[in-house]
Amino acid sequence: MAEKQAQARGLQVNEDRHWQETLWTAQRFAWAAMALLVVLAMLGATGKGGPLATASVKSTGATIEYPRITRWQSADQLSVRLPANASGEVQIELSQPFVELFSIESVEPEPSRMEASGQGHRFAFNVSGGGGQPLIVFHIKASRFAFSRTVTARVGEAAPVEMSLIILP
Amino acid sequence: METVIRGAAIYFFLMLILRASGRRTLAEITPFDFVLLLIIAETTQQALLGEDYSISNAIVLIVTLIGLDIFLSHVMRWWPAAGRLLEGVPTVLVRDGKIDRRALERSRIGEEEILVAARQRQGLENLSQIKHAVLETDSGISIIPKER
Repeated sequence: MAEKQAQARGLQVNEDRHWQETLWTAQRFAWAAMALLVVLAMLGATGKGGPLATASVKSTGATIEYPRITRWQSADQLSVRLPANASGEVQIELSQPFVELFSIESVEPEPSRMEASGQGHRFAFNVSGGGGQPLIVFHIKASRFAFSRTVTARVGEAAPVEMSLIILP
Repeated sequence: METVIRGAAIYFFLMLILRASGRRTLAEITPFDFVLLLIIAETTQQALLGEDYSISNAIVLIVTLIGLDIFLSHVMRWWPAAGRLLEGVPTVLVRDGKIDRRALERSRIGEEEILVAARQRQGLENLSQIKHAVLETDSGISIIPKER
């Protein structure tokens, strides 16, 4: 019908203004969705930087900063800030579910000892006192994607702390 | 956040460099221009993606780049001065049959290129048949023939 109308006006073109208006409206919605995604990404909802992407938990003096939202196959880090009075050997245990989700690419500083146990991987570090909070960084990479998973970490003999995280594809 | 910043940085840098290099550069693709284009694509890909091969990264990046493009096209409509800056203004190369040598020289266009456009678009045979020739902002040359 639209074609006939167009022909009647002398221009042979397959115009359908009504449908075009619908498409234009749909485009505006798509733009709004795109803008929303960019804003969410800036806030960190898609991982890699931004306030939502990282979270921290405290475990008797130590602070664990972990990626709350991370991406599959993408480098990220989990850092543990030990209490200022820590010295001697400090152990950090990453639970079995954590080890299943992430491959640990490297640890800074190198742990003096590594152990696998039924609870997960245990890393021992030699810490010398002397002011400031020693920082231990685990460079990790998610090896599968997971929507909402809770894993635990444990510093020394303190109770394990829970970390809930999302790994986007 | 990082992905959006990377995307925006590369977008604006490329925009700046392509504007600075002048309109002709990527307009008529010679084999060498084509190779150059591929090298630019390959180089920016590294800067854009880094080591992150996740789907989320790709989605956020594409949406950022296309979103910026849509946004800037709106900015240029609302604020024409931005359009003059980002897209440039058309250049008259031939006015009333008279060639503007300075315009040709400054925009790095040869007489031959005007003739090519005249032949391809209007089927004209020589310069005397051209009334006006304009280098448009999209890097094409438009030809208005003299009345026969």
